[in-house]
Amino acid sequence: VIPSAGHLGIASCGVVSAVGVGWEAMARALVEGRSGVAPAALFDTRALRCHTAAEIRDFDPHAFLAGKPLRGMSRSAHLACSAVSLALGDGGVAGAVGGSCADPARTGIVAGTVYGNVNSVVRFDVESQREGPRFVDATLFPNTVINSPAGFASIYFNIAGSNTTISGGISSSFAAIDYAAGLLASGSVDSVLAGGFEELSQWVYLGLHNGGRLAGSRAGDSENGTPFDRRRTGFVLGEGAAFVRLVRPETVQSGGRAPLAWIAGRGSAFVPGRLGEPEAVDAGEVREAMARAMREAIAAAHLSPADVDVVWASASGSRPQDALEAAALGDVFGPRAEQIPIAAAKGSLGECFGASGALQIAGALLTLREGLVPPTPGFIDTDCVPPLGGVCSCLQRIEARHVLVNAFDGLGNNASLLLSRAE
Amino acid sequence: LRARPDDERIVVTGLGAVTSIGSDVETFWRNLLAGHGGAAPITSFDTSGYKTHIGCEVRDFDATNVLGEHVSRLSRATQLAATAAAMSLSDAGWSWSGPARATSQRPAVQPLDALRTAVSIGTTLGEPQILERMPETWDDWRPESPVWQGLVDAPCSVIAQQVAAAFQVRGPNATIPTACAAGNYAIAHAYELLRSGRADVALAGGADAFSRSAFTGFSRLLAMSPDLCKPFDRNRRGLLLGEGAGVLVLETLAGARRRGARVHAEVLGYGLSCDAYHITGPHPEGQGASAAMTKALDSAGVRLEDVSYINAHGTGTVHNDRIETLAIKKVFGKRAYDIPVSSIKALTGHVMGGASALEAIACTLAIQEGVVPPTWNYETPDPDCDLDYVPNAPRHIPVRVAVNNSYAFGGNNASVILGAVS
Repeated sequence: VIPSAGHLGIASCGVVSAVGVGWEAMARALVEGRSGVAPAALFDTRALRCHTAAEIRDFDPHAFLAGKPLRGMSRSAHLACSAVSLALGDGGVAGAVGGSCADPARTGIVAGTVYGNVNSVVRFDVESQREGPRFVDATLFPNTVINSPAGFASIYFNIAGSNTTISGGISSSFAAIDYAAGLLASGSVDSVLAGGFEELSQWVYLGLHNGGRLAGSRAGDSENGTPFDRRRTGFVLGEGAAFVRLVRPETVQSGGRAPLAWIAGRGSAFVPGRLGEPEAVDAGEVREAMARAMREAIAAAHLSPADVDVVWASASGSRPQDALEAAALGDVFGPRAEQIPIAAAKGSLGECFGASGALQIAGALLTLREGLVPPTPGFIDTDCVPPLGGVCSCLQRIEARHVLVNAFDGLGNNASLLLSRAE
Repeated sequence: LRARPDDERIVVTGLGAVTSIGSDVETFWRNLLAGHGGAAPITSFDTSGYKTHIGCEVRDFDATNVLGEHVSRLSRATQLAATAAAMSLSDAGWSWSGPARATSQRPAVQPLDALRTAVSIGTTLGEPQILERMPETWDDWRPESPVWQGLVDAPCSVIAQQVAAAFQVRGPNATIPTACAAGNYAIAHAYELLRSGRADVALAGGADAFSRSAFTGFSRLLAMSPDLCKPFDRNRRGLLLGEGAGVLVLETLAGARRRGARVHAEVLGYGLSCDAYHITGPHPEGQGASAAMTKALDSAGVRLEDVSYINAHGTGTVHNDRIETLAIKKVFGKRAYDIPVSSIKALTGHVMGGASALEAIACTLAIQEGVVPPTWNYETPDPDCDLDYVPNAPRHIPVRVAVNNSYAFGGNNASVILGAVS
C-alpha cells in the first residue's frame, strides 16, 4: 500500500494487556485463544452476582520503569508508562524496553481514558476523611487529576513537545489518534505516542454490575461475555494500556524503516443521548451512527467496503450493543457481512474503555503483518442479524491488506479506523 | 498580523459563564471591574478538619432554569457547563432543537446544524462530587447502593456528551481533561476542528465542580490561602479553590459574517507545551510556560510589541506567580515591563479546568470594552514579581491583542491569543 498525504505511519507499538505484556506476548496469546478473563483478584466480588474480570496479573512496573520512583503513581500511571516504555523500545513489535525519547521537543503524547482517575479520587478522599485531611498522604493527590499518567510519562521519558489527555468513551484512544493526526499535520511535532489506558477499579466494577451491564450481573444470567454469541449476557470489565508511535509518511520515506502499518482513514459519529439520561438508547440512531463511522473511515482511505479484508469489531458481549454493531456491519458490507472474517478480542481482553481502541489497533497489526485473525474463544453461534459467519472459535488465516477497526459507545462516541498493510 | 482568508479565521460569537462572582457574563464582568470577589465560608462539605475554610463556590445558580426537569440526574460540572453553553449559544444568536432553554431575548438568527456543531470541554476532575459521596456510606456500604450507578454514569466524558445532549448536536465531541490548563486546551482543540473544516460551529470551554478532594489536595501541598487570594503580592499565601464554567461559541469569520452574527473577538492562535519536569511543580526556569507563549505568538503571527494585555494564570501561590513572571520576562524581554498583566483569580478563585475558559472570556471582554480587569487584593510589591499587575483598579486602554496563560499539573501549559477583529 502506497501511503498518501492523510496517512499516519505506526512506527512502533507498546501493549500491556490481560493476556500478555508486550505486543509479542499479547499476539501469541490471542492466536492461541488464551483469554485473560478470570475471577477478579484485585478486589472482593463475593457479595456480587458476577466475579470475573480481564485483569493484568503478576504485573511489575519496575521491569519497564527501572530506577524511577513509582510509589506516588496510580495503577493507571503504571500501566500507561509501561506501555509508553514499550512503544519507545526498539521500534519494532518485539518491544524492547525504552528509556528516553529521541527528540524530546519534537515528540508528543496523547492519551485517552474514561475512568482513569476514579480509584485515585476515591482512595484519596476516603483516606482524607478517615485519617483527617491534614494527614492524608499528599503524594496521592496528583493521581486524582486525570492527566497525571500522561504527565508521569512525559517526565519519565522526557516527552516535551506536546501532552494532552482526551476522553470520549470507548473510542477515547481513537480520539487521541485524531488529535495526534492534527499535531503531526500542524508540524509542531514529528512523532506522537497516541493511545489509551484504563485500570481495573472495584468502584467502576460495582457501578457496571448494579447497572446490569457486566456478564452475569443480572439475576439468573450465566457469566458469559463472548462477543456476538447467542449466550452472551454482558461484557467483562478489563484493564490495559496501549500506545502506538505515529509519524508522518514523509518521515518514513526519508530513510526511516518501514512502519508496522498505516492508519489510512479515520471516521467518527456522535450520538447525543437524552439530557439527564446518559443510558437512554435510540437503537436506529445508534446503528446509523456506527455505519456512518465505518463508511467515513473507509472513504477517507479512498477505498470501498469491498476492499476491507477483516474487521476488528468493538463487540464486547453486550446484548444490545453487539446486535447493533452486527446490523451496522450488514448496512456497510451488505451480504458480505455474513462471510468477512471478524476478530472480537474483547472476549479475551475485556472491555477496557479508554484503552480499548489502542488494544484493538495492536491486535489488528497481527492481522496485517501475519495474516492471522485470532479466534473468539467460547463462540458457538450468534443470534445477531445478519448472522456473522466470520466470527469463529478457530484461528483464521487471510492475506489482509486493509483492516477496519471499530470502537463504539453506541450512545455517545463512535469511531472507526482503516488500517492498511505497509509492505 | 498575517493575512488569512476569512474561512481560516476563527472568531468568538458567544460567551457564557457561571461563576462565584455571577451566574451570567454581565454580572461576572461587572464584578471583575468592581472588585467583588466570590470568597466565602465553604458550604459544600464540612471543613472543620481543615486549616482553611474559605472557597469560591457558585451560589445563586439553579440549573433547572435552563435545563428544566432533566437536571436532577446531571452532576454538578455538567450542570455548570451545559448552562454556560446555553448562555453562550443564546448570546451568539443560535437556536437549537434540544431541551435546553434559551437564556436571552436576542432573536435567534439561525438554527444550528447539528452534525456540524462540535463540543470541546476541558476539566480537571470530571465529576468528583459523585465520587466524594462514597466515604459517607463507606462503613456500611452495600453493593446495591445507587451511589455506584451514578459513578459509572458520570465518567469525565459525560460532560461534553451531556452538553451535546442539551442542544442535540452531533459534531465531534470530546472532553479534554488536562487539569488546570484544560479550558485553553479545549479552545485550541475547537480551533483546529473549525480550521480543518471538521465543524462549522464549536462550543469550547471548561468546567469544574467544587471538589473536596481538590480542596484536601491543595491544602496538603500547602498551596491554599487561609484568607484572600493575592496574586503577585509579596504576602501571597496561596490559591483559593473555586468552581464554575465558561463556554465560548467559536466559528469561522466567514460563517459569522454570512449569518450577520455579532463578533466579540478573534482567536488568533495558541501554543501548547509540556514541562516534562515535575508532576505538580512548575519548571524552575519557566521553560514550558515561556515555550507555550512563544509558540502561541508564532502561531498567531503576532509580534511582541503587538501584545496589549496578558491575562496571567496567576494562582496566588508563591511558586506559580514567581515562575510565570520569569517566563513572561523571558519571552518579552524589556517589553515585559510595559505590558499590563493581571489575574482574575483574586476574585473567582481557581476554577481549575474552567479557569482558562473564564479567563478567555475576560480577555474577550477586555478587547471589546477597552478595559483591563485588574489584579485585586494587591498591596505589597514582590521583588521577584516586578511587572505591571494592574493593581486594584480597572484600566481603560485599547486592547488589541491579549495573551491568555494557563498552567497545570502534569506540566501541561497552554497560551491562547485573542485579538480585536480587524
